[in-house]
Amino acid sequence: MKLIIKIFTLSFIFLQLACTEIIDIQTNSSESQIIVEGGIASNEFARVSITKSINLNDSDNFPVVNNALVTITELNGDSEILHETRPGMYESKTLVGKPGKTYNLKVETEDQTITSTCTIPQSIAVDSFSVVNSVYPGSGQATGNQPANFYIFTINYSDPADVENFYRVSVSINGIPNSSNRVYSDQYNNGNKVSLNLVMYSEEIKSGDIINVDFQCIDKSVYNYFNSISNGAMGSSPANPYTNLSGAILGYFSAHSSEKLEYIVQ
Amino acid sequence: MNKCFFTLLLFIFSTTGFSANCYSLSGTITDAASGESMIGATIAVQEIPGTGVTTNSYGYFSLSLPEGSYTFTISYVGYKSIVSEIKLTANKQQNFKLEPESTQLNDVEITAQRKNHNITSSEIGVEKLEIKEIGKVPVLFGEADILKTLKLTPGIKSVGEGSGGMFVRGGNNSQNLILLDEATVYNADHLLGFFSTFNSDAIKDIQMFKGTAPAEYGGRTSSVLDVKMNDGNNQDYHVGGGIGLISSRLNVEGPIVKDKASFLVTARRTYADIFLNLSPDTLIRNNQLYFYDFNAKVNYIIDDNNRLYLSGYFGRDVFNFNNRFGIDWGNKTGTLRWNHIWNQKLFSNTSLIYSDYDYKVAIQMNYDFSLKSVIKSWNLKQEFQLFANNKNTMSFGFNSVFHNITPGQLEVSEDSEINPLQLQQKHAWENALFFSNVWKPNSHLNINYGLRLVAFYLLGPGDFYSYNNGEVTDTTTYSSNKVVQAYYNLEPRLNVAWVFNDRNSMKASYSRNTQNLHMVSSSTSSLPTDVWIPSSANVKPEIGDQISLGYFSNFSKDRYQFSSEIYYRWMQNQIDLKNGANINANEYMEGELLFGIGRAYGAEFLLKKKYGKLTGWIGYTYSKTERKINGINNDNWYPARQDITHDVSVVAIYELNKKWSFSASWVYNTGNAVTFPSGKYQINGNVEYYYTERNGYRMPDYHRLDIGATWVLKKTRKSESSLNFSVYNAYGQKNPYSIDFEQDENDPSKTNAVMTYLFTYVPSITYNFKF
Repeated sequence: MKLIIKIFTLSFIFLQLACTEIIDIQTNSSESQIIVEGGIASNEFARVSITKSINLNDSDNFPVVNNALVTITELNGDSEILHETRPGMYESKTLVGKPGKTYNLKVETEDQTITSTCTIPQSIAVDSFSVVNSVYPGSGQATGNQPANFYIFTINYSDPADVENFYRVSVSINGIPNSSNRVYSDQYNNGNKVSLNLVMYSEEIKSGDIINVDFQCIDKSVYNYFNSISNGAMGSSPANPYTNLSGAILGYFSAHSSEKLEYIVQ
Repeated sequence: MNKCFFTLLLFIFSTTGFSANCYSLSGTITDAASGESMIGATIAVQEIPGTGVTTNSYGYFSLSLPEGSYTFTISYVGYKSIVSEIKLTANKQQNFKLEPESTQLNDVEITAQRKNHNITSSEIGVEKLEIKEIGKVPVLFGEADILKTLKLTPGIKSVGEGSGGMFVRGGNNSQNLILLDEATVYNADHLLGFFSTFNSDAIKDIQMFKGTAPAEYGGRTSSVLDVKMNDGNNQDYHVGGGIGLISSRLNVEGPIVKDKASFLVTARRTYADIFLNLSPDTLIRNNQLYFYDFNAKVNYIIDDNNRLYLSGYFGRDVFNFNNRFGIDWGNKTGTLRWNHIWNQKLFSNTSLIYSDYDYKVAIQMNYDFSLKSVIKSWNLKQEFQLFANNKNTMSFGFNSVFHNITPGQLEVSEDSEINPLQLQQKHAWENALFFSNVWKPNSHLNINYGLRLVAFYLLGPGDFYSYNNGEVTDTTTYSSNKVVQAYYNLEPRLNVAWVFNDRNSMKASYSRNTQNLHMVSSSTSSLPTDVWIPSSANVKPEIGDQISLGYFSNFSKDRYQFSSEIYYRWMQNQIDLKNGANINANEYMEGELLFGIGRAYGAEFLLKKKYGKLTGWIGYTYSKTERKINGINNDNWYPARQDITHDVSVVAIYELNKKWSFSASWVYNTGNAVTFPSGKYQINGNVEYYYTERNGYRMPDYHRLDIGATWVLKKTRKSESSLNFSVYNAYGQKNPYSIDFEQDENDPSKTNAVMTYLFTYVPSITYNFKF
């Protein structure tokens, strides 16, 4: 239902009641935090990136954390120390994710130990995937003289009724991640055939672009992380998301299923 | 409990027996031209200085004096006083009619009765505005607005530009009790706060209690705004109205039976969206954004001792985006009242009150979807006023309200993937017994003490949940009308005035207010989708305690009024939300709540010039308000969003001549508290912001000048027409609506602070008429 508020805000801006201007705000400096972004997908190797936060006024040159000891352990199963394949990026060489299994992540740096636990849910298959360009969301195909302002990517799947399900859709355009915060729960459509609409501005996309969509079934703790990362729309106070890491306040560890979809823009 | 109440009643009646050789003068005071009863008119006795009463909400007064001859002065601001010699040898009932002053250009003659009610009454933390005054203060779009004008007085704030809501002495927007003819108005904003629900054509009287309301009022912890509608002219028919650039209004009033019964109907409609039709872009053209509202009232004077009133309000906002997304919302209220004079000293009012608020969101995308939410309240209020003797005026009675809440009803078309959903209805029964007495032991002391006992019951049927960390741990099912949870609270109220002389007084006050109906809002600005929930096992009653101290002084023959007040407030069981909380259409919404405490303190200064060619005021507030909520800001104290340290407002109205009057208002306040990031990091290639503390930053200072002019085209005894010009934000200050942090479009490694602002200059013109 946060969607309502978002649409409301967007609509107001659409009605051009508001103007914007860049202003100068002095923000405080902050202690650099370790950011762990860990993932293990079914049939894929574990990948963990470790970076650090910087001050708001700094240029985006995010420092990486080298030489950390990163261990991933399957509950009642194998364990592997991840190798640093490029600075700040750690990957497993043999251990791959299996649906229904629980994984423990342990990250040891010079002065911090960060742990987390997450389970890969049973995967849910995408029934179909389609793309239309439209005048505005919900208007269907763009016609004649009206410009197509949006691309609508539709993912159809069947939500199982017997369990609580959470989904994340990760989109990248030509290999560059788009927005990573698209998460969904089945609170309002449990047990139904679902059409997920991803709305993207046409401006972001041009002919020949390769759109990669990763459809994931995620753990509730990962849903909570991405659900709470959204900023403070319409005056609510923004705050750091609820992480499933212990020992760090920023980042997450996601064990998930994964189905990859691709679309080449005509 | 009932037994206790009747003992109290007995005591009250027995005290009246002592004044055996005293007689009373009682009656109603009305406006001679319109027949409207006058609230707060004074009746003073020249022979005994310091003796006097003011009329109650229905224009009724009663005064007890020993047998003898007296000179009574009946007066009201803006009206010619009546001096009447009356020989009291028996109880006497007499009504008075006051004629309006023909001219207000010269200083009003200061008659025998001094206009110093502000000094001598026990009222502290009260703002009163006169409708005539409000009509002259310049506002956005030229629409006279009581809420906007109230926010120009100390201690009452809005946060940022154009945002709705009202924050009183550090309280939240959800903690204000807003009454229209005694009916609760759940959402007092139109168009997200650019207008208020009150059409000033329909309003007679406004009183704002900043946490110091007497025991008759209850149910919210922060403030009470008591708005009373006009009764309708019972002498002549009148039609009035205004035509403006984006809104028009019309009102009709007149006698049904002269001197006996009258009616009033007012209506308003905005049409800002017609301008959208001028746009060549169909996306913009196909939108709707407007509101309309109606006020209606009839009253019937059955005989000298009985009077009936029926009043109502209906308002609706409509927003529609290309027939794809629509939301409409509004309040409905209805009040049936019966005034009865039992005897010379005992006045009663019985009210049956209904109010509701609902919103409906409709989305038509690949399928149809609608979400509806409603709160309805039925209220029976019985109030007695006992004019016991010239030292005691008592008020007592009870209040019983039944609330029915439909938190969310999700309807979808058959082909939809979304499941229809009907959240459980919630039922609550809120009761109160109250007693208060205005006691004037001598001419120096004026004490108003009272007590309110609140009994709140959350009722079945339904499933009720226990939570641990937001997860449901236990479900209990209750059948219909079973008490699920009960809360009893005692609310003492005390206001004391020490009147040094007729120009200076000190006042002190303590009051406790509790709140069993809580508004949960996913934002601090007033959204139509705010959700109301009753107290439950998880949600405890909110409690507010306030102490305040004030010094009041009038000088230059009461032309100037000065007041200064300091206050401290404690707040318990305050409610906030988790990050990303889903509050609409969520059966387990209580699991998304966080709880804590709050504190606020401040000092308020107001210098007001009441009479003369130049009138107006200067107000200054220093204040601080903080919260400590478990789960926010590492459980440490942090400033509430409405924490504004310095706040200045200046209002000036200048009547040049009979044709022209000018007005200006200027506001300046230091920025409210806001959360900005202090760092940034990368997640999956996107830049995210790192927050180190809640509300640790300040918005830029806010300031704005509004100017207005009224040109009276024609004015006779019967008719009047005028043009009102105004410019909102006359020097075009870009005041931020919000500040967001975004990556620079040209240099994505750089972070910019982007300010969104809504208005620079907004000129408007309104034609007002009355005949």
